Amino acid sequence: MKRALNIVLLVCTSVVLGSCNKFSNGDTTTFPPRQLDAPFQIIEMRDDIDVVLKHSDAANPAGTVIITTGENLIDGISTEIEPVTSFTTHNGITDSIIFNKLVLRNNNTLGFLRPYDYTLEMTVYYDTLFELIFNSNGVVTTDTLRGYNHWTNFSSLNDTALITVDSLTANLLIEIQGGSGNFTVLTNCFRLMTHYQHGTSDLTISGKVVRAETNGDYDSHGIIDGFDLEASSYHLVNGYGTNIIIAKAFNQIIARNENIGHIYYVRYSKPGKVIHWGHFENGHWIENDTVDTLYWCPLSVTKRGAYMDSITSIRSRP
Amino acid sequence: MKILKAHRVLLLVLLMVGSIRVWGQDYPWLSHNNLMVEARGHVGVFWHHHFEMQRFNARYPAFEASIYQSTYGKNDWESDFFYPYMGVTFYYANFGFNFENHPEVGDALGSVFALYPFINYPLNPGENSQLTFKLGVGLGYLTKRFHNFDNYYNFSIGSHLNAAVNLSFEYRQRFTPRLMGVASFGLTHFSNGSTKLPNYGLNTFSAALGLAYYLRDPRINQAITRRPEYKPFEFDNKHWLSLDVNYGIGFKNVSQTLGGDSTHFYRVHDLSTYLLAQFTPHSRAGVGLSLVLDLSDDKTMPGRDTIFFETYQLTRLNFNLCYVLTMERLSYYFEFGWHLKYNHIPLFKGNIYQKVTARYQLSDNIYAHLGLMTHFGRADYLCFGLGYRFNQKYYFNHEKSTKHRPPGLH
Repeated sequence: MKRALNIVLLVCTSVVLGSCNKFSNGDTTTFPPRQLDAPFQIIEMRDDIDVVLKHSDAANPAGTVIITTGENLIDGISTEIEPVTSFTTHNGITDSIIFNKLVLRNNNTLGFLRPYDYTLEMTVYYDTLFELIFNSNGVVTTDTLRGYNHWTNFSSLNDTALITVDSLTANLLIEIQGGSGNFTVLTNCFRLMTHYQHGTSDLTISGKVVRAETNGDYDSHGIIDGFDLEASSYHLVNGYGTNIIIAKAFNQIIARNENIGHIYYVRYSKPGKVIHWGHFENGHWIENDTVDTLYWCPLSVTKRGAYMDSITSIRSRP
Repeated sequence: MKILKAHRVLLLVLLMVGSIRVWGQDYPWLSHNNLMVEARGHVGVFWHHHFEMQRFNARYPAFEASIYQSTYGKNDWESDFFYPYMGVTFYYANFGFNFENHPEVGDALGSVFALYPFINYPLNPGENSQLTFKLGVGLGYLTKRFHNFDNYYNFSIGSHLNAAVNLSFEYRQRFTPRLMGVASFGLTHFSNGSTKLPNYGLNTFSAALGLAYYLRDPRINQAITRRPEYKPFEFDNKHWLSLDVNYGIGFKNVSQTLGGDSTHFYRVHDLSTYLLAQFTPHSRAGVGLSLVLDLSDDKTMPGRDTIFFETYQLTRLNFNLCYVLTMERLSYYFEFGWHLKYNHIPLFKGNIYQKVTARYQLSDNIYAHLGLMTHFGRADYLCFGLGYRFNQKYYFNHEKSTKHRPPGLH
């Protein structure tokens, strides 16, 4: 009897383990485009999806999503639009408006039973975007994002007396809520706000803005590389994390560093004005007007060692 | 000539003495202790409970070698637990040698060498085939750890030296009287108990196959019935109510995430009390209260720049339900508890916690303990200290009437 039970147990185990082979991702295929049924102004990227953001054109209108992935994964890839209420208050009057947020998710489960090497790429065509939310382990790249003047949607701000520079110009908000992906954002707008809340993602920002504001929270561990971002007016940097933040501005940098992360700045082409405030607990601040741009190179995992060597050489200068 | 004769006598004496030492004291140490050796190969997958670490999802091989004793009833508790296996395991895994060939996994996580004592409880009394549960706790050395510039992707491991915990279910099949096959599935966890942050911990699940071998013919288990059966008329059904009071201290270093002196450790003070009742020879259960002062909260609490506290206001009051498993002097305490809101401190760690404590009874009343506080798998602090137990014997009402009654008088 015991022997029979053992045999049954062995057979059952073999069947269960054997069935694991059926958990495959399937052949990688580019599927017919999905057309979203509503416009969106915010996009949130989750899970492990590699995303390319492209401005819409005649062939690909806004809301077109092209997905390339395994045949067995496609049913678990969702592209949903969710309403988001945004508020503003002016002169005691609170006004709200509903924007649409496109959320990209990979809902496939039991991934440990499948091969970890698989393709999951998405190309999203947009019309207007003023907020990017990253909570992803994927690789995200964009074409030139021009931001969006979302203030014009608030009826309470239509009073010309309330019009400010901000309300006339396009904004772009980058929010990193989590993940460990690699995000490369190209932009050309008036005001860029970057808020790195949590995670180990590397963010590379490039392009031209008038005002830039970069915040790294306590749980920000990845690099914020703004070496190729040119802020013509000012660049405000708050470093609370353990990471490296690279900022660059033509005119003015205002920065504070409250943790062991490093903030590096580069002045470009003409003298700037540096103001720092707050305290620099165990942090480092390089005030060296003659920083040689040769020391600065685009960061990558493979080049980080060389990069750190260059940092050391800067530090060791008298 | 006399010298030569004396040499012969001396040689003869030495041989005799040597013979006596070798054969006269034939102590069958190996068979007496029922020692076994075992080798096992694993295929593991990571179970990252933080999304960021999922970039390192991969399968990897691991190996372990163990030497252990198959208990045979030398102590009473061994027969109660179906003669568990006790020993020590050496574990090695190269996280970078994964089957998907992702070199970045090895660059960030490296490899691990661990050594942990374990106890392996059979779940059924079978002699030829057994299901067992293995519990091991020891130390692990991970070659890679967090560095805010060089290795910031790995924020699971904050220090090279970590605790290694293994929990696994095993199936053991005896092939010959001395050879066993072993198949297992289990969880291996590495973390430093938040003594050095960041410390989200590294969890791996693995399936393994191996062989175990008795170094000498196994001893026959001494029967459970060796212990006299307790009868109401000869055992008074006494129960023990115990009140435990203990103090523990832990240490935390936050310099890698929040700056400050890298040699400075914040202290964690833990004053706990438990009221426990015994309901089987090896099990007790009850409730507990504790006061915990984690001085690193002042550094790690969100919004600490805008909210200011006196040190005593960081103290938390906790309530818990507790189960205790005892094997002679060693006990495991399993707590499931709640942080009671106290002094309007935000419960940023969550208000539910779990705590596992190992205790060793130094005397009838004094014990040493080592405990790990967690919030759903995320270690909060590791503490150690001493405690005192107040024991109180008691009877239930219906038992009092029958105690110490000789047979025939009921």
